[in-house]
Amino acid sequence: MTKNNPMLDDIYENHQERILNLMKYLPFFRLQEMSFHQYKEGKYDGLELDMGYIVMGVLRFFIEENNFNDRMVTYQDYLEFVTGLLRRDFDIVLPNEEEKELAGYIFDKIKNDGRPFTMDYFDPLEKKRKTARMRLIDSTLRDGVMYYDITADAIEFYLETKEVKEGSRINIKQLLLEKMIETKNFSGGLDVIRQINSEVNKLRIRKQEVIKTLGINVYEGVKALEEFNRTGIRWFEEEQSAFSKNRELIAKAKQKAEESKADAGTYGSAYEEIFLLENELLKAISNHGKLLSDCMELQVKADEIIHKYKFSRLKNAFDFKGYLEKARKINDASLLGNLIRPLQKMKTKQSFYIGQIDDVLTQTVKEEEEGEKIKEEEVVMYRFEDEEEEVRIGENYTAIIRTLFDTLLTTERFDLLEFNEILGLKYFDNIFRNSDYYSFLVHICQKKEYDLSEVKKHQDTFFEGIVSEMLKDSKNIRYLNLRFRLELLGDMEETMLDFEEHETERIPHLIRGVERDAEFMTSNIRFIRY
Amino acid sequence: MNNRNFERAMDLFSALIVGEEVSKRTGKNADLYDAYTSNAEVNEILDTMLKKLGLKLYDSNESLFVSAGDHNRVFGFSNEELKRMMGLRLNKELYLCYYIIYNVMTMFYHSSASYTYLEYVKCEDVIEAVSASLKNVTDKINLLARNELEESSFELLAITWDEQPVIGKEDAAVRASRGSKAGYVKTAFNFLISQNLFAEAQERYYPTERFHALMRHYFEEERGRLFEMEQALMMEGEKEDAAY
Repeated sequence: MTKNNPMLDDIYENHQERILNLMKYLPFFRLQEMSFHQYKEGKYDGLELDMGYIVMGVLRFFIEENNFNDRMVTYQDYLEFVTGLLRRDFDIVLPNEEEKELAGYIFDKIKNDGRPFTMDYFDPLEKKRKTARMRLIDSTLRDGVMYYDITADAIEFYLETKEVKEGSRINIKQLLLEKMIETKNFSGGLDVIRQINSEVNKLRIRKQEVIKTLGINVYEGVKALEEFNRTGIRWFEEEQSAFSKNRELIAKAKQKAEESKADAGTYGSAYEEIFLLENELLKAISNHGKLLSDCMELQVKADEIIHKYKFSRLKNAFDFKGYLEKARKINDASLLGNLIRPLQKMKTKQSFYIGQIDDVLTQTVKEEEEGEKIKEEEVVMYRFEDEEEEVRIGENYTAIIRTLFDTLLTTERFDLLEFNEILGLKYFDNIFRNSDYYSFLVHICQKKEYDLSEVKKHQDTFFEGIVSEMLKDSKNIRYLNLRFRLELLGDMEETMLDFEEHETERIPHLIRGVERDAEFMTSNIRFIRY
Repeated sequence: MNNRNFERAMDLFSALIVGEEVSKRTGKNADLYDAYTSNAEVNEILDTMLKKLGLKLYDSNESLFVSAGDHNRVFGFSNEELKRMMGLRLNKELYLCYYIIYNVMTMFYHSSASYTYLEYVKCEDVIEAVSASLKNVTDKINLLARNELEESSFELLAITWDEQPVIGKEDAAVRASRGSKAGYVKTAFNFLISQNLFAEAQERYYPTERFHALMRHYFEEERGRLFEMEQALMMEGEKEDAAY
């Protein structure tokens, strides 16, 4: 009954093959589900260790060492890798011993405590329950050292999981093929080559799709082309070298098979398989070559389409697709509304927001009209900038004047240099950066003699105005009888004779500014109380 | 100003504003069309009124059409009003309808100057076109964290589209709905028909003269402004890119 029905054939005869294929994924899912709950009474529960990730990492490490670097892995190698991974990806910092223990626990789990992972299944051909087995890691003892080695099934599993777009599947399959030839699994190798062939064909179909997309929408097409180049073409050279490597391997196997044909050894029985394998591989190589020429053709066609499109863009018209492309670039679909809304009819029914009906209904109307209440408005006082400035100047002058008067009360005569020192002590260097200080000097020099009791009655200058304001304060009553005069040392020849040794004619001032320093001189002033 | 001319202009204005046809070709309101084309004062009064109201008038194929343009606060519709008109609930549904309409537009016009000479479209053509143009986006959806998507992003638009069955289960004939791809396309077409942009006959949708006039003239004239807007958007986009 089943002979002529391909569907039943598939169900019936191919079931075992399918299960064996599925079996490859089993260890991963078993391990993935495993938690660290049982380990050390759930001590690492909070660390969010992910076994699935660790397994994938370890498998990749083994592939790197076994297949790329061509060397077996010792437990020490594994330990270094896994502890590094735990520290880097899970931020786990543990004491050395504890870390080793954890790595050991993980290793035991991946090796399933030395037993293969198993799965029971029903074989419809033999009508029996069978058990499928698989290991991820094999071990061999060599010269008293235990070496570990990834199994072909594990490689296949790992490579199958890898995103098609991310890399060359052809390359991955080649790796697998290499492993198969090395382990003398020629019939398995044959399958792998067939898969390579189908991958090559897939890429050729993909090429057709890219051309089609280019025809519909150039922007999308260019993206698809880039993607195709990134995933398909980039690996070409590597793929070709992998092909030739495998070809060599097959040639060697063939040679060995011929040599041992007479002995009917392992190779002898496989001679036919090797022969088929070689044929398939040659077919794959020629397909692969065709793919390359297809890709060249694709590039030429794409350039042509893009070129044409660029010209049409120069036409004096609004380009709808270009607009969409830009909206897409900033990822805002609402912008399409700008194209749609102008096409609409006028909105002639003007309405107000429905929610406002509630407000209308709940609005209470007052029984009688109320008169408008008029509040007394406060008179707002404004202070203008110059008034603010005057206040500031007044405050600064008062401070300086007070220091000057205090000094005059205690010292009969002193000069500006000494006065500056006193100011410096009181207000630090800041005061010499204050413009009010310099304007103060200018103002005070407007008169040569000051009698404060007179100043209180009558003020001639701005400076006297401030002094008289100051004297109104009862705190400053002690200055009331003060009388003093100023002598500018630079312009009074007769007073030159009175020079004391330390007195200088001119005083340098240096103002350190933000942009540049300013340096200038002022005359020295002598203050004399009388 | 001649009072009679003013009246004529007002007649024409009210006919246009309520969406009446003003066409010499079909004969509807042909006298008004004549008044507009042959009486300079009527022409001037109407133009001034329309201009002051931010409306745009197009004379195409012996017919007059008026558009409120974009962002016209009095005569234009807001997104909320549009949603209500189309029977949609969410912004993403509205954007999807925009996208469908955009696809319908580009099936007839690649640019404002290149009519594709397509006579009509069918619902299934539109479904296919929308799916094809969203393919690149949908391919990547699996890798996206859904709750991080912006309401107006093309990814969310693509997901909304992708999740719909082609035709709703219970529908024998396609009805406008938010439950299937065909339902959305139908929603979009119902809207286009209500706006006098398309006419339907045996499930085939024919563009109207109004559609052609607006597609050719509005976008042709507003090209500069739309282009400026594009540039401004691109600048924003580039800034965003640079932040990554």
